[in-house]
Amino acid sequence: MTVTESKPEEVVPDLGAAPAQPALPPEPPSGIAGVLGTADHKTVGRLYVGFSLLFLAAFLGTSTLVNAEAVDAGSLSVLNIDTFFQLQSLSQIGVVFLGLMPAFLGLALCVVPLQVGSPTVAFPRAAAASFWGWLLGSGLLIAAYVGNGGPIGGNSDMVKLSFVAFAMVILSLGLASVCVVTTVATARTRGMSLMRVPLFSWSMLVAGSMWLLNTAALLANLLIVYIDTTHGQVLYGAAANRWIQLTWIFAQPAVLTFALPLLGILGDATAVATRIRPARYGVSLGAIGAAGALTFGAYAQTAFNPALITEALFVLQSLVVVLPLLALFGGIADSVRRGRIRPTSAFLVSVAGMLLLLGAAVAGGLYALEPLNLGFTVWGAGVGNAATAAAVAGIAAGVFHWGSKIWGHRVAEPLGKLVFLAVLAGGALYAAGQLIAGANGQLPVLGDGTFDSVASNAEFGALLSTVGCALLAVVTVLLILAVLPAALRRGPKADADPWGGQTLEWATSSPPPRGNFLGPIAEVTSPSPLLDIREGAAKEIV
Amino acid sequence: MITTGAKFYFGLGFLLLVAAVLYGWTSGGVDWGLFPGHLGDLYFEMLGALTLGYKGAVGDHLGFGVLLGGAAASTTIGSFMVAFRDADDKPLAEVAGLPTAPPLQLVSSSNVWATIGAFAVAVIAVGIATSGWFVIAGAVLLAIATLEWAMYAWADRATGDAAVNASLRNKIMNPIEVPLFGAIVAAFIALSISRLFLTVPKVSATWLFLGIATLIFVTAIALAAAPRVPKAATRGLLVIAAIAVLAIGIAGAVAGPREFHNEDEEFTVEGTGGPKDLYVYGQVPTTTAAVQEKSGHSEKKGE
Repeated sequence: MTVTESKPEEVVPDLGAAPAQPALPPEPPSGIAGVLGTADHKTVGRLYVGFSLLFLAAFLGTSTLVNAEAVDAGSLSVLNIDTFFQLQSLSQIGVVFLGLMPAFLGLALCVVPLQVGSPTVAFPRAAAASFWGWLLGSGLLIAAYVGNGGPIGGNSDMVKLSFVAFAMVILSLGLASVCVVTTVATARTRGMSLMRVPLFSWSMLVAGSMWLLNTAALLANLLIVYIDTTHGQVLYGAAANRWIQLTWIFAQPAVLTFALPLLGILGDATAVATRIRPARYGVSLGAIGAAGALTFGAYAQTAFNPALITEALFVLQSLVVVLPLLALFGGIADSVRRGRIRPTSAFLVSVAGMLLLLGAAVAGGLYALEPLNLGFTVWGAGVGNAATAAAVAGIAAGVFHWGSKIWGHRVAEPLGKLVFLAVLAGGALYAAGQLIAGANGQLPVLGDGTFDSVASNAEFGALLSTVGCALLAVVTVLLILAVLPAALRRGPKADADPWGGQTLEWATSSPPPRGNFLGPIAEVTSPSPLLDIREGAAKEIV
Repeated sequence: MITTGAKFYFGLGFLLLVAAVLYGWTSGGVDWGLFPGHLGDLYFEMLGALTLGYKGAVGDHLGFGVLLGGAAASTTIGSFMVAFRDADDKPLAEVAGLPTAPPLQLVSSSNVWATIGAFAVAVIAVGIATSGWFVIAGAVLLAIATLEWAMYAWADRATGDAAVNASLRNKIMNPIEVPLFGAIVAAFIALSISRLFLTVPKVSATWLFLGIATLIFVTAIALAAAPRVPKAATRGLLVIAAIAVLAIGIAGAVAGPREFHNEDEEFTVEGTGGPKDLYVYGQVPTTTAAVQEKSGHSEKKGE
């Protein structure tokens, strides 16, 4: 292999055997027409990230309001009972399906084709259709709630619209997942076997697959609920039963799937921060795969089998899921020990996210142990809160790691340290509040907005959760502020490789040109192709 | 050799299959008292889950079915990953008979059909919840978007030359698109302007018609006579005209049609003749004699 001593983006080794890049088609139109008609994965990804961050900030805000209502357990202070339950379901749907999932998919649509050395994403027009479908579906969902829809809404047309719009959102995100998974599975460059694929791309293959499996079952639930709503509650009961049939997706183990991409982001950010080649790469890939497989939760529907949380499978799954996460965390700790650590924002924030995810998994294991009597208490909500906070951290880490690559201008790195502190404190409080209340035996809120009985420290726990949720909302706002100048193309232009990265996305300019890479890509021979080139160049000099 | 991707999907499938058996067995209730002395009976309790319900029962059918479905789906994907060797470069190149597998091609055209398709699905979603007309409109739009999308997808990869691809697409689609687009524009104008004519008084409608026709005529002459009109100006004029027509249509539809009953009554009572006096508002058209008979009959009734 012929190499030259130069910056990675200028290194085009092994020209002789490399396949010729296809001729670039003419420039697409600019402006609104260009955005509406785009098939560029980077534009679609940017749109996903931008809108999902706005939704995430808004719905973490509403979630804060909902949490605040439990601080005084005696009665509702600001919201009336209908609004309370409507906001509760809307904020849960909003945070996950309008915030977390699309933000990860947006990052993946931007970064995954670059990481695997592909000039585009698989099914680029489907990716664009998925974004517009998701955006329109989200708009319809919010409009339906505003028009007194939602699971317990009073306007029957709007109730139906809310279910159909939710289904549209899920289908759109499923389509985007298919595009990302197919890109990782089929569009890799020469020599990049799946054993050499970057960890974020691998985590998106795993997460996308698990999202598709879980949300397929959720769509079936939605269909049942819709039929019940439109045809006189023939299957599983009246309005009160609609929402609980859908809540398994926000409970363990399924809720852990939404934080899976964090594992890949942590892996990639660690390689950059420690400046060494990742050791035992296969173990990392296996751990992410195992963690993904152990978060399949579509069977765990307590609405149909309330005794499920005492079943052997649920208990076993809840306990075992901790192991791959510990293995991965051990690998990260080993890299930190061996490397020369450089605390980038992405690394710090993703470590915070990993700690929160480990906390969620451990808390989930405790939830499943029958002697502890945590079942059906708000401890379960604490597990979900920790997983949500971990996913928020994952998005923040991803934005700080690849933001400059995505937008072509530097993302405000100093804000990352603030985000690290806020996400760690916010996530810990958001989860701890519910865990404390659950440990004291606090049950969830009743149908009339009050509690059956108020356990000791429950109100204190609710206060902690409220503060934690507010901090996570602040994290999202900080993230928007960090990204905004880059998104508006203000501030200094970003370098092609600001971190000394090891994977292919750092071998092209920021933002990447059309077709992503200006020349042919050398055959990949390890999970760290740019490190190979740098080390090869160093050897030649010696 | 089992590839990396296949290992993940087969592993997931196997895990879900084992989970299904475990869940199908234990969710039906397990008599642990049979352990260790009566393992045969304990095995018999498992038989339903092991045979997927063929010989014996399983506990929670829903959870069991979901786990089996997940196992089947992931095993199927795993089979594809093995068959296509994880879509690695070398096997693909061997199958294609090329030195290396070609990378994905960039799409060569920018078009809004994916966006319109998403909009059509949103219209269908609104229709499912509210009115069947929206479903029909959305389905028609979705069909058009799908056809256009498919044509673009084919043309983008027809040859290596983007200009030739565009020309190929246009050759096939323009004979369909131009008349269809023309018909849609004509229908849009006719529908919108007719709302206006139905709203304003009859005499005003006549003058308005003349005015609009004159305006179009004069504008067309001005455009034709001008030595050079910038494209942007023509486009801007068309956009303004389209917005005006749409606004007229919406305003007319909101205001509703004028009262026709008085016009027809006046026409009939005055007896100005012509075919229109055959029409009595609210009844099916009939002959003059029948109208006279009807009117005479009512007079008699009045007496």
